[in-house]
Amino acid sequence: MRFAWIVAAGLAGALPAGTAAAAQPCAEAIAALDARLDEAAEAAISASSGGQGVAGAREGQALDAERRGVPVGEPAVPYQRDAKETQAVKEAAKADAGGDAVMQARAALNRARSLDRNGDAGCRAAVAEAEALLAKR
Amino acid sequence: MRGIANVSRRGFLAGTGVFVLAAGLPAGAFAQQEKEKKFGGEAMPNGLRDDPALFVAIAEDGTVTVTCHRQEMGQGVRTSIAMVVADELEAAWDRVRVVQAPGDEERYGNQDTDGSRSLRHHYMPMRRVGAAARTMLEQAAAKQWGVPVAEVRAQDHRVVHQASGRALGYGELARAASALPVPDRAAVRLKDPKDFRYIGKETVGLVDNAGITTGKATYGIDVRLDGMLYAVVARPPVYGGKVRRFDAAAAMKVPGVVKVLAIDPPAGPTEFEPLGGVAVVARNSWAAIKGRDALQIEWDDGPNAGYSSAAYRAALTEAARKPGKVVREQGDVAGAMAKAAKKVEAEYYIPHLAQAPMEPPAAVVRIAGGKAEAWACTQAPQVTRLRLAKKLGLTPEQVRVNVTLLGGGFGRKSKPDYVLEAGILSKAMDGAPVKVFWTREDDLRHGYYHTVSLQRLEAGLDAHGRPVAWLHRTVAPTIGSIFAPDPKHQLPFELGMGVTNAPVAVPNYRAENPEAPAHVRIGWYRSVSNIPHAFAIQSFIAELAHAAGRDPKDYLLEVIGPPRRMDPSELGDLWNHGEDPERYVIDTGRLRKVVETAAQGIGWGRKLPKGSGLGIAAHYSFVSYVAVAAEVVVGEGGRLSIPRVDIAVDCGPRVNPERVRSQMEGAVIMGAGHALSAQVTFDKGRAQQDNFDSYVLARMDTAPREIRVHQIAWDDQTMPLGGVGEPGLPPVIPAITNAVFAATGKRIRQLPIGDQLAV
Repeated sequence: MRFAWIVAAGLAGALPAGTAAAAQPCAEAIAALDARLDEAAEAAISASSGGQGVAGAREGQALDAERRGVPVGEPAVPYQRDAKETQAVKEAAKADAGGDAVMQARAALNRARSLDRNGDAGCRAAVAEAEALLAKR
Repeated sequence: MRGIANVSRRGFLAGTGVFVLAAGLPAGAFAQQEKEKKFGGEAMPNGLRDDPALFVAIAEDGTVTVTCHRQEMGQGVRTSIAMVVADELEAAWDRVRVVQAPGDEERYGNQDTDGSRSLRHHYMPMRRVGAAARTMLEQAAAKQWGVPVAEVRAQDHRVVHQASGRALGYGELARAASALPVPDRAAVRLKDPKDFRYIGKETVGLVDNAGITTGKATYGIDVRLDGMLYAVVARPPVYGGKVRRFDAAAAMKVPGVVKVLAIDPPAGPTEFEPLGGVAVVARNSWAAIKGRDALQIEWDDGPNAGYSSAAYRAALTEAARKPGKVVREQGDVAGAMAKAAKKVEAEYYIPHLAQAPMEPPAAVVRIAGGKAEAWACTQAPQVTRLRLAKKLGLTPEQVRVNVTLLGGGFGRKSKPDYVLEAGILSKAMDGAPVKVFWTREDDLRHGYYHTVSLQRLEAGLDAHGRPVAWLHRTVAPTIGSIFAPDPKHQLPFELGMGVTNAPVAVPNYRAENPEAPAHVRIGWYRSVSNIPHAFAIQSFIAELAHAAGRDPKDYLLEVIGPPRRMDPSELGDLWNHGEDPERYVIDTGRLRKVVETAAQGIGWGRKLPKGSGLGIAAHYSFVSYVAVAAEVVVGEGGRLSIPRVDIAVDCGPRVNPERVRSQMEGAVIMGAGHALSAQVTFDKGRAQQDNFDSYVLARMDTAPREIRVHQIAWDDQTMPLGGVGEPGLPPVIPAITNAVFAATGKRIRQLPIGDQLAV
């Protein structure tokens, strides 16, 4: 985690804390997955690109290939020469279609965090769901 | 050809006495270094360039020519890029001219002008360009005088040796400087920002002002070549349709019509391909239009013939009332919702919109000697070049794309389908120059429409009225539908426009994305998905404030929460506008500041007469922070007017404050049109609006009478730059509709307001 939520005292109670669960096994699993998610998130952001045109084309094609369970083909739109753009779309796919599964995994992991904070045994299942989503990449 | 000057095909060296600085060096020698993970401009196709040889030439008379590789569509980028180069170069502004680069990203770096990132990505490279050129001029002067370079300094278009009082003008030094090697980046000294003469100041006007205001500027639709033919296309009235059969006999009888031919529809996802149809080529534009009118065409409407906005809205609503793909989650929404003292829910509908640039799409292509040349008002000359080459069976090197001024773009002109149409028709006419022009009706009936969406929000409030649980379901057909067959979910970059990165201090938060198929061409539109997301979230916060009996501005600040810096990827945003999440964090302190500034500007809390109201909204997008406070008056018969809007923007360090102000003013006027009257609806797959009488934008009598722009000034030049072109728009609409509620008690949950206020 690169940036903690820097929360003023007035709202500290209203925002995620989680320190009580730090010693619990599920918390360890969450922490381990958290680091992997950070890395995957950066890779996804990097592979997508900041222009909405390029991002749309790369994410759209990568997600479609993932959805249909087929390798990424030639890029639909040559934002650069075919070989380079094909590689870029493949990288977007490798980085999980612009982060689609990472995004869902982050949500699942946050759910695990919440369950863990409440001492709910469902934490493990939520971590497993996040791991499975991350493994889809 | 008039007006906008393009870089010569043969380069600057073709001219007499004009020197490209270190033109002999390989292009890209000064390019960005490779990194394992790239963000921002470095991650864009073909990355960034900062080689002065590519962007600066100095003539013997001292004229400095700056090549602008970004496209001008009213945002002032040709001025702003030149300002940055000229400032670092210590050039006198009245001796600077700007020429437009053709589409050639391998030479100039990324040119796709979208995403509010021309200066965000190219500010530092352009500073280095100017500084490197200045350094070379200083070195040339020092060498000529035989003094250490440390003793000379560039000042106002000349280099001076203060100890001796000698001075040489840039024109006198250009030849010698051009023979020097480009200095290493590490050896280039950037100016101290306190010495800026143009950057961050309002000391220069637009370079294109004179041409635009005298009618001499060249837009895509203005291009005329000898022997040029004119063409319009009858496109399938329903997306995905095709020509079953057509009869051209009557069209061919129209004087001036020379050919009628079919254009094939795309075989797969439409991406940037022409929609197909029947083209009429004529000797003048009127004949082409009349010939098209005379065509007899039988259409096969295809799979979207049943698309109706009313039915689709019902389908979106049904989808929004069921769980969808979870795209962001914090805490335990269900648990917190169950314990909430009060629950509030609302659904917001945002219709399709059309970019409707004042200049509809237009392009000219001619083919000769195995080469094609295009003139086009395009935001994306490189993709145009590559796509046109492929369409014509040429190599990219055999295609040149000249960029004209754009009479507005708003994302429409990032898609070069109209240039491809011109290429197809030129080829069919044995290479003759053919101008394809879209009429207003063409543009509105066959657009890349802004998505339609249903946004459902639910919240649980505690006993103090504070939100403790938040559920947001966003349902909208995705832009990905033009690139892949039948996707059902929004893409991460669309969700990263206000949902997965929404900076709200609610402990239990869940965002879902149910399915929504696309039935029209969906494209990006200024601000893209931030428009529906900001409208829904900012309207809902105002609704919660009302439910809690609180002041909307105070409540908005409470929902934003205390000042803190958040990693967007930790929230669930896997796009972050392509920027490094460690450098571009979400800073709620800056968001709060623009809210407070806009509120103070409009005099939040002041007493207003009956029928008047104030509304406020804020939104973070394109890594900038904007808040809008609007005052509305709802008069007799529900007639709505907007006496005043205060808009506050924090885009980090400002390069061209005059352009920041104009972009915010433009966003307010555009947003007013969206709030009040603009929408594209469909029946039987056909767009129901086809000109400005039915697609109604803000007009003189409905535009805000006074717009006050408040720019948050930062002295810290190490702060990353934010976007300016797009982030102004999203909060405008909810600020207006929230003001309507304050004035009337009527909550606006569907856009446009239209006749909802009529009594």
